[in-house]
Amino acid sequence: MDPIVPFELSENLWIQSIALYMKDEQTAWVQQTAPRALAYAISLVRDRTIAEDLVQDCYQRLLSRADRYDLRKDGTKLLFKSITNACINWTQRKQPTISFEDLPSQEMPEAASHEGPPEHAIKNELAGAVHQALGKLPVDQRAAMELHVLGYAANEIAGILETTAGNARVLLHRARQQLASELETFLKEV
Amino acid sequence: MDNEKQHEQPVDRLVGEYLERLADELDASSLISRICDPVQPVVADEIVEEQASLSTEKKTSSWTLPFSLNAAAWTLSTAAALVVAFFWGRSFDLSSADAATVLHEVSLAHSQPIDRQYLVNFTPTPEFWKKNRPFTGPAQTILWTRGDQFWGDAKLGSYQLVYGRDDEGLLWLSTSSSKGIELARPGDPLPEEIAVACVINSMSIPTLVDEVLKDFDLTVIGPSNGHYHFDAPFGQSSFQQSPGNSLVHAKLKLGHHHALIHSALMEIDPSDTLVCLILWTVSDGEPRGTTSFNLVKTANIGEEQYRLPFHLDEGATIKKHQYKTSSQVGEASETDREVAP
Repeated sequence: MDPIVPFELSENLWIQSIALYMKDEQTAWVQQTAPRALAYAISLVRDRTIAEDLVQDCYQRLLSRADRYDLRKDGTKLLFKSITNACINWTQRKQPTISFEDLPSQEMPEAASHEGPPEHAIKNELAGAVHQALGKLPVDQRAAMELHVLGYAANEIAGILETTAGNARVLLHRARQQLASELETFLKEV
Repeated sequence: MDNEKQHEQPVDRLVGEYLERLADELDASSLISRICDPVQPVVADEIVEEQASLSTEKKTSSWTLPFSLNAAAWTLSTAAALVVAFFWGRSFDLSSADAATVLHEVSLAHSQPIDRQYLVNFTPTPEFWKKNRPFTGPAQTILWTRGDQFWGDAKLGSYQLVYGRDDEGLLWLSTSSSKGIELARPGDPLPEEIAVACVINSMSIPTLVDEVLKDFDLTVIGPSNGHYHFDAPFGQSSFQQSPGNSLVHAKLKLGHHHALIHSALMEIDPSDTLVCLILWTVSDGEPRGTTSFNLVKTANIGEEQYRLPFHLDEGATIKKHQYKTSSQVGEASETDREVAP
């Protein structure tokens, strides 16, 4: 008997069990990362439908190559890099057809119901202002800014944006300056 | 990520809160469904839910089976499968009489109801280990054996799997404490190769001695003190032999080759217990790594640990594996390959 036969059969046996495990692992990872990834993509492309399509595509491409990556260790960074590239590509290809002015009420979620009306109003106003201010930034500055607040260091942002760390810092600096100017009123209250 | 630098300026905080709020209040469930649901079934046709004894959870989504699982499976099954391959197909002859005698005594000793714990380590060669593929990396299994029973707790990187065979002959696997799989119940048809794999995992080395390696020369080195040096292809090439123990060294005959094994070494103590087994393995003719079984201790842990429920939470789902008949095995393999990217 060919000695490799029992190996293959045994392998088949374990594979099916591991596949179940992996399915749960990957589902958990998607559930954990999807809301933040979608929020990031919406902020970059300013359109939820487009963002969902791009994010879905990025996840599926990443998961189809899961054998090449350690999702637990590197998955989130790879995902955000993929989403960043997809969103920037989409943004650069497409001429804006919608007004940023329309977006806050369309995309911003309602405040949590336990908040009282004044706080609700303030937060809605602030969130809308931040949304609009971010929308006025060039997409690479917006990405640099948002990646920074998501916790990525300058060299990681540079890797995601495929630029140098120095340029990433420049993008972040410019984004901060413009946002500070746009949100001056709110910053005084912070 | 660099958490220390988060929100370091007021404007950062505003943007951070904005993104956080957006993420918290977005309903991403439809997106998650689109990502997780529409993939090819991999397991559903092989595993049928039998007794969701206590759980109503029933996930139907499936994932494309990453090719790396082959590596994972390889690693997990190394202990059993390679030893199966190691022994399979060899004709017993008089020149191996010493080795056969030694292994027969080992088989008798390991058929006794004594619990033995082995530490099983897979150490890949640097060339084989792709660092971004956790399943090609080092793996460690705590293996308990008791006669024909065994159970192992295997870790591959951050992944964990428990498997075993209980006193009633039920072969099982568990991927988490909330999920178990009955691979084969007593009386179920079980491929002979799987049955042999179980025997190996229980370290009983039984009837296999009748069909020892045909491509390997077995050499028994009698009880001695000191180091035993040998021609290993990679990794360890010197073995510290404990006083009084015997070694059986299996080495490929000149001009022969084996698809999986380059050589092996077994250390047997005076009580005929297999205290160490080392396998040097190859893949496509290149070094793959070394798998070692080292006896940690003997104990009396009882039979409960060899049973699946011992490793599951209350309310866990138990599924039953449906074995294909031997004529369907080829089809199953084709299915597995097809879904791998």
